[in-house]
Amino acid sequence: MREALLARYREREPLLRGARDRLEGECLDVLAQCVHVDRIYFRIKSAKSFVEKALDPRNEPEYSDPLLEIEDQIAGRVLVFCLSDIPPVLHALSNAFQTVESSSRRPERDESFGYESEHRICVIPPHVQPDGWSASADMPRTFELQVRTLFMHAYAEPQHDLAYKAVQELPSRVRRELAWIAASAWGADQAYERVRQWNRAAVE
Amino acid sequence: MKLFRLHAYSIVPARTADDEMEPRGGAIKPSAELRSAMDNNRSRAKFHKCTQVGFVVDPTSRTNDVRDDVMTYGFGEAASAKSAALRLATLLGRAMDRRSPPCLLVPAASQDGPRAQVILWIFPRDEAFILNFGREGPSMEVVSDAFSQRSNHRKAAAFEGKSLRTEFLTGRVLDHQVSRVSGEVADFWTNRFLRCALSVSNDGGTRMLARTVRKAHDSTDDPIAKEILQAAVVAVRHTPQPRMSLDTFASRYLKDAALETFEAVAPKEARADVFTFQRPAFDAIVQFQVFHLNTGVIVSSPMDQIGQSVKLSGSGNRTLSCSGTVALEQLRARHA
Repeated sequence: MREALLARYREREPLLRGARDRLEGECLDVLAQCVHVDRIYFRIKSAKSFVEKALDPRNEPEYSDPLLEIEDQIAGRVLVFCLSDIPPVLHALSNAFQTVESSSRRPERDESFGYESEHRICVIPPHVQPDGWSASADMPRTFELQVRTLFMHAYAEPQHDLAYKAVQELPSRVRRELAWIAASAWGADQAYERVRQWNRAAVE
Repeated sequence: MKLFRLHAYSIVPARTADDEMEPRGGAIKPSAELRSAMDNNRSRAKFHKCTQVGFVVDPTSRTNDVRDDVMTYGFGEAASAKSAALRLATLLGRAMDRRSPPCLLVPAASQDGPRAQVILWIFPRDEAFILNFGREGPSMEVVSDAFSQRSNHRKAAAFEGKSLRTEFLTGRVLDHQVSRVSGEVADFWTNRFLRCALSVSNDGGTRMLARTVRKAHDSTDDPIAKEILQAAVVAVRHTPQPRMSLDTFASRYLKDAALETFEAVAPKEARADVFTFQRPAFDAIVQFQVFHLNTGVIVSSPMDQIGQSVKLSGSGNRTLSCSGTVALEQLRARHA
């Protein structure tokens, strides 16, 4: 099962890479008018990571057809400077791509600090599908998009490697350290927003 | 795919809420002749060449009523499929307006293992003659409640896939009006009834067109092909028919080697996808033509100045001349 899935995923990687490159180009065009976009980048999921996700025993329910169901085989990220740069980016992206799912990832409790990001699942449009895409009935229909500030990213990216993928449960002190980093990132975003408001008022 | 479920409803446009009538119809057991007719309709539709649409889904719940009914029709039990078909028929009546003639809605589901295909057909009402031969000689009968399978006003939408949350998000529509007309008339089928949107955005489609034209232009050495592509660029920027696809652009503006080059570089998965041409998006990619002359001079000209202040002559070694008042002079180490 594992080997068969791995082989099938590897077969599709050239097509996924083709779509990734075109999606990245499309996003660059779509967001060309948006100021304060720091970076736009796309990746395809590694074969190893895909198989681990597909066969993860914690999946509830299990994937019946992971090649069709896993939606981050292609994923993109847009990093912006400040909180108020996020809405215009989301607006431009929603005009360009058919969005089927949107969520604002935030800690559930007000007094908690942690991962924050805007997530979207969008349909892969036909004009970014490389030749041969529709010849296979199980190419993914959707891709994932994340939009976040540089400070959200500064917390999320190292945390993903250090904590999210940790092999053992994190000790209390490490969790507090991470919460402190998240709180600092949240505070920095809020402070930048206040500075920006001050700057706007000063210019006017 | 084998047809396993078929319903038919006579739809009268519900022009106001007061004259809304429950659609008349129900499940049809397909005869061999009907099965064959539906198969022929499917082949004639050439869905793989039709424009792609996507369901407009509520992104918070990932739902769209029409998509849910289409999937229920394709995968549900007979009773729930019948309810779904009736809901679709009612919705169609509401989506139609005074400009729409009465029609026959035919949902049809086919299956191949875990995959299903659901096609929603509408066949417009038409009048036909029947020529009868009796003892008193031939006679003609007028049939006013027939529905035409071949009319250019027939429409269809095909959705295919497995019963998964990632499936049935997109489909293909047969709608002869969609690439010709902008606005309300063309959009009743896609937007108001199916609750779908075209899969290629207007800006995205226009950029795809601009890139394809540029790639075709840069990849051919044939001066006549280049000239045709240049003329096409000038023409499309002023087109009175902004709804197009790569295929319609090619058939309107290109021929011979220019057509072949364009078709060779056009993205195959999206050639039939319809969009509304957006000049700013086009100009962001194709606005200037650059000529490198054998004298080391480089001329960069806005497209619409070619043939005006920038003139090309000859067909083999073409020569260029341009005229105009100098507005700015600068010294540079290299070409801008």
